[in-house]
Amino acid sequence: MHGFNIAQLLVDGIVAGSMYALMASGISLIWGTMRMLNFAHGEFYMIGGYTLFFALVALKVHPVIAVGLGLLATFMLGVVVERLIMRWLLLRAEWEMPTLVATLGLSVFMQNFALRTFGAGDLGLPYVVPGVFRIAGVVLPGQRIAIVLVAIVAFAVVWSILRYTKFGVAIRATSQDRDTAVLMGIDFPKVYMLTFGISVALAALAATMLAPIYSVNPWMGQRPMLKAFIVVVFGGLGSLEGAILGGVVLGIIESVGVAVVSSEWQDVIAFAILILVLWVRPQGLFGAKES
Amino acid sequence: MENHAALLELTGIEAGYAGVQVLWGVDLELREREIVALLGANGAGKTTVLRTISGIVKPWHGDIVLQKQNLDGLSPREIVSRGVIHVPEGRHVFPRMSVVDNLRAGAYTERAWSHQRETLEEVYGLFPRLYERRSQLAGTLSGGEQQMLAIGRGLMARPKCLMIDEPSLGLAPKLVDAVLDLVIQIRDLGCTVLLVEQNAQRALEVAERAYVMEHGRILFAGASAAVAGDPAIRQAYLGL
Repeated sequence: MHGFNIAQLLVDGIVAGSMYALMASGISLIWGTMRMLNFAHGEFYMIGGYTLFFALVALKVHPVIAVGLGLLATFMLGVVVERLIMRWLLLRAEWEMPTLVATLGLSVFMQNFALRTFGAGDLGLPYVVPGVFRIAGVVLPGQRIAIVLVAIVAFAVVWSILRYTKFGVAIRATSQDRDTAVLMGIDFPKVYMLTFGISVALAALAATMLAPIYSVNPWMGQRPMLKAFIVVVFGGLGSLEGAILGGVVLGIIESVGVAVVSSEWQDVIAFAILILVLWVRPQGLFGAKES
Repeated sequence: MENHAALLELTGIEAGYAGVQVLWGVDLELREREIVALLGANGAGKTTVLRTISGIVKPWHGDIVLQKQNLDGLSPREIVSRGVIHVPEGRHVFPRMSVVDNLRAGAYTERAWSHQRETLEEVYGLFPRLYERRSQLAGTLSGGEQQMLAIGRGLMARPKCLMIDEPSLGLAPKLVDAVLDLVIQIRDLGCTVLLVEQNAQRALEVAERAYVMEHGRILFAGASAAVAGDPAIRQAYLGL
């Protein structure tokens, strides 16, 4: 047994964690704004993966355009799903259970739709970003560097939208007090629709980054979504900072944990953390206690 | 004040929630540049009047006319963009947003958003305290400051008519003075104010006219002095 390279473990953890964070921030954004959980989040991730695959392999477009198409297609699908399914459920007095069941149903539908349409096989993709870098004994494939950079840019964009734009003001106002937001003239159904679209586009972004490393198949979204749920519980539901920090911390814990024990324990570690957090600090690291 | 043109007129408004009727034929008129008090005990239907004007509650019968335009069927957003603004009871500031972001939220309509800078200057002029606290989270302000913020946020929409629900609720007497002083200043800027108050005594001091409600009906309408001078009304409905 050779010694661990702590730097390598940390870097690997940050790479994995930045993708958990990207997935988790979408779930958190939807929860924070609409107070619903999206159990089909992983399937929007899958749509992003398939769109990237077909854009690269069938349309043979430039990888950047392929990623853009993946985001756009998923965003539009998200907007349509919100408009046609979620809106009617969210306007009811009792919306928690119906939206939860609807997203679960949507998840099953989308997986099986992909299975029927594209088959069960794994579709492999070449790395979009070539090359491997070595810095001070840390091995870093270009794809993984790109993953972290893309995640940082995505968070900066989302944060700036929330912080500075008119739409961001509307999202924050709606999430904090929907009835009062209406008195400001804020059109909350429109806010919901766009928030849902942006949120699932973040999942698609994670997929376009990870699909070359793993592969594209109908179930590709399941593990990332489970991890994302652990992260949002860990970081606090509805908190963007919590999703980012929680994602990176989970990534590092897994990466170090797998080095200490063995890789079969990766999910055990993640879920052990989930249980521990629910036990000790159910509102998460950054979550406010629900009043 | 009598010669001022009518701004907002309610005629025969009947409205309620989920089949339970709350308003039974409410007539109310607001003229330009005046302060009107809407008084009555808890549960008289004052807030429902405001919610009906702002389009949140759809009237079952009756008309709401703003400067000769019927507001029938308009969404709350369209009513806000026509300059009728509702400052809700209990302040309802956005607690995890800064003071300035709360104010920006108030300027959400197209017209108000494009004039945001000037309006912000004006609001800071009226409420220097809000300027001092502009980057603080609204949830950390005192009750009086939150009330100032809620009113300031309403002004950010550049209203023709500002409807303020129970601004003095839970405030110390000194702060009530400050808030009512501001109501006068807001009127002097050219805005009509509909002031809903349980604190009838103080509301009658600043309002030109007053309506007294009970059980979803307007019982009495007239000059503030007439309301304040009528012993029967004072005793029966205002608890003075």
